[in-house]
Amino acid sequence: MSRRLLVAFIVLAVAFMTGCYDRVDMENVAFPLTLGLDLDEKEDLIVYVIEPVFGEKIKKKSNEIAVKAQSLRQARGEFDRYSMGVFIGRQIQQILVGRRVLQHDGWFQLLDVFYRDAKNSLTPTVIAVDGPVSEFISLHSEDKPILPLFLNGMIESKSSYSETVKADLQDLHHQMFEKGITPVVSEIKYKKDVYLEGTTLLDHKGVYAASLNKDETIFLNILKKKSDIAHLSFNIPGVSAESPLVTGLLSFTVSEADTKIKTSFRDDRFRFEIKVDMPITLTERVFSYHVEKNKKDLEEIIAKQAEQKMIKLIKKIQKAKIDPIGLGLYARAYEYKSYKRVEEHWGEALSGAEIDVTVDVTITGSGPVR
Amino acid sequence: MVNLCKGDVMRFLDKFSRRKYSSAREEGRQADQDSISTRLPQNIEQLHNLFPEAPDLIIREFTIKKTGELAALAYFKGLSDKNAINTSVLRPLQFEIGHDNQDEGFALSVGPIQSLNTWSDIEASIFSGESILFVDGRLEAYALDTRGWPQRAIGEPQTESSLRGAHQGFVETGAQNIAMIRRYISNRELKIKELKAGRRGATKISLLYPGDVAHPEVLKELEDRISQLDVDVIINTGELAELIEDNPYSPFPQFILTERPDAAASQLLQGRIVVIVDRSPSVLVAPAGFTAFFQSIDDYSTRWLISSFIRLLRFLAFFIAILLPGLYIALISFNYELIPIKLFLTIGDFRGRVPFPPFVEAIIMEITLEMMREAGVRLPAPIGQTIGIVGGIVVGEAIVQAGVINNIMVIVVAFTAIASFILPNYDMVASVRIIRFLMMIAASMFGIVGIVVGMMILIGHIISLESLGTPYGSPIAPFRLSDWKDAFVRLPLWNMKTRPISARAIQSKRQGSSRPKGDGK
Repeated sequence: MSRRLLVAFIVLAVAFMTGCYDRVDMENVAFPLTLGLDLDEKEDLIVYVIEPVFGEKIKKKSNEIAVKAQSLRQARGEFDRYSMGVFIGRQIQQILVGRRVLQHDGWFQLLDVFYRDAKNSLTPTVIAVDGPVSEFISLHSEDKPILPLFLNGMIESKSSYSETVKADLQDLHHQMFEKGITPVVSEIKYKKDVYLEGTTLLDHKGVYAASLNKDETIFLNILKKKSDIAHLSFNIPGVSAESPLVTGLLSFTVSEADTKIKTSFRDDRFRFEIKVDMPITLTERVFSYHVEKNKKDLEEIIAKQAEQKMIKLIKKIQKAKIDPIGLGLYARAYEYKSYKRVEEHWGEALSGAEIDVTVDVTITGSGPVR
Repeated sequence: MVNLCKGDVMRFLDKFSRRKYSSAREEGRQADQDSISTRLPQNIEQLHNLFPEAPDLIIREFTIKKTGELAALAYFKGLSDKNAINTSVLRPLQFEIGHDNQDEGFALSVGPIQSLNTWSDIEASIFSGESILFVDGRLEAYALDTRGWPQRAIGEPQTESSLRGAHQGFVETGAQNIAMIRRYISNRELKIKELKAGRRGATKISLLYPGDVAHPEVLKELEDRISQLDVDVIINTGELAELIEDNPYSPFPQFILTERPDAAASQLLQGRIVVIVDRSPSVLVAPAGFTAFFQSIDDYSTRWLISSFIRLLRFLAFFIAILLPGLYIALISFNYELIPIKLFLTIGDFRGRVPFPPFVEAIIMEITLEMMREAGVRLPAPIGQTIGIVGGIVVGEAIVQAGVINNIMVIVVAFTAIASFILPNYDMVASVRIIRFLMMIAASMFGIVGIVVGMMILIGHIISLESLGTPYGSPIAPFRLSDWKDAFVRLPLWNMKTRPISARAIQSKRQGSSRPKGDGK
């Protein structure tokens, strides 16, 4: 009998339980899809959001709000006052950060709410904007899906070809707090329309350090061992220009480049010997060249160019005193004692390091035509 | 023809139930005069007393030609075979002299003849369709096996149709059902234990088991449970199952009920026990494990790769049928971040038009689905088709256009329905329906967390269940690797060398390891 009472009690308790306190049905929620951070002329923080608008009869598919705020949480309070539903940031797809914000120390701390409030997801991609963020927020292309979806697709597809990186909040957090590496995020620019520039390199504190274009990003990804497939075009020197249409441009696909990094510490400086194995397949050749006969020569030419470009990239990195490749992780693994001494200013230590790059190119395919 | 039979049965049941009460009234008086008398008229009078309002009781008085004795034959019209009585009983007794001079033996061309001398025995045998021969001057009556009650022809099993399996289903006569199983297992190790249950209409219950394979403890347990029953009558196997189940409060069926002789035979060969309840066209198989409800007899006659695929599909369907509506509610009400952004925008567009919260929306649709299904089951076949039209067009199309339910919800309900139709066992489908609603409630209160907790409770419950004292969760928990050959997939038949451990067979070798491979190997 008492068991029956107990069961009845549990059933009643469950039925009338107020367990649904955090339940908000989808139609009562306003979902920001893109979050933008920028500074205005007076160095005040402006927070932008783009939220989708649901409804058949509404022409405009998204709604944009901009508010002045000191923090994201405060901004959310402001957004709430502009919108029909409750603002819930769990479907944010990307966070656009303006260059002006990136140039200031401590901007990363603004994202604290994403890490501290466990209900927020860590999946939004961080995108650096070269220029003012407002240009993107107010953008309404008739012939494009809404910006959040557009950017999503853009970053997703280009990062799979190594042309940019897809750094979500989780990655960014790791790169910020890992001392042996500095953050890399993708970079967009307004060039009459949304234009994917490549990547933005940040220093240990998250402050803007340098920008890389598409090709440089590909080489960075190859050095980071993050490149599965990439498309490159090189100008082959020594091609006689008999017509303006014939240039020495050679396009190829690099698939599964193999990078080996040897670390050592000698004469008070780190030494990295980077050896890259690049199997390539030719995809386009707009000049005449007997590939089969001169395969070795061509491989050497391409290898030399790739080598030069990588060295140039490394010089750029060293000059900016950052380490987007993550060589610090190798230094820590192989030369722990020496690394530990310079850990706190690793970027500087790296700038004095000796980094050799050798590239070995193998042409694995030149297409079914001669 | 069928209608006629039905009418007879109804009339019979009517009389039968009325008789029950009158007999109860006379119980006290009867006790002291239970044995029959030597005088025929007294016996006939007693018969009339015993069955006062039974116009279908026929008492025919005549003289036996061979001995010149007065005799009476009593039987129930409809329960006994009229032809057999006329040609094999009345005719020889009245007109034939016979060759031998034996006093006792009658020259009757019927099977078993049993002598009875108590009224309670007579009552039992007359109700089972036997005719009773009273002879003046003898202190015993003879029960002649002239049973012939209304019967249905053996036909295709209605609830479990199969592509490759046999097209014979069990019928309402226990003896025929036993015969059907014997056709598959013609071996003297197939043992049958007969039990009776029910006070007012003793139901004959036969336990079939492979004598050298079935575990005696399991058999004893089943026998004990059945013999301890104290009920009026068992009309159907489902009743028996409920009465002897290990845990009647569980949503899960703990015995397999099947209408297929081939399925029953296959279960017998695995070492399980088959219970045949007379008058019921489905038999009970015990002990049963959770995975057994996902097996179909077709699995063994289809090629193993294909049937493995189909089996995996069934398990997937089980989870879809249980979880999908709950998941929908959880995603729309709590965990939006889990929806891919493009689908999210689509759902948002649809949801904007719907006036109800997701839980109410889901409940409306699921209840509609359940009602349509129930309606489809009970309606006669020609009208049943309208349900499809009503369901498909009215509910599917109109409800969305009217903006009551959104498109995604209709898809969810359709998916759930299809998923639950895949499961081969009706009882399991019914359990899935109940669990689905519980999951929806959990999801509407706690979101994904609710579903996870619900699943944990469900799994815990399955593990704790027992069927006839054997673990229900086997071979998953307790883990029995060798039984996995026939659980989630069906490995090739030549790999099934042993009977499943979960059936607790005492002799486990099922077959040798040789397989003819051609080329004389």
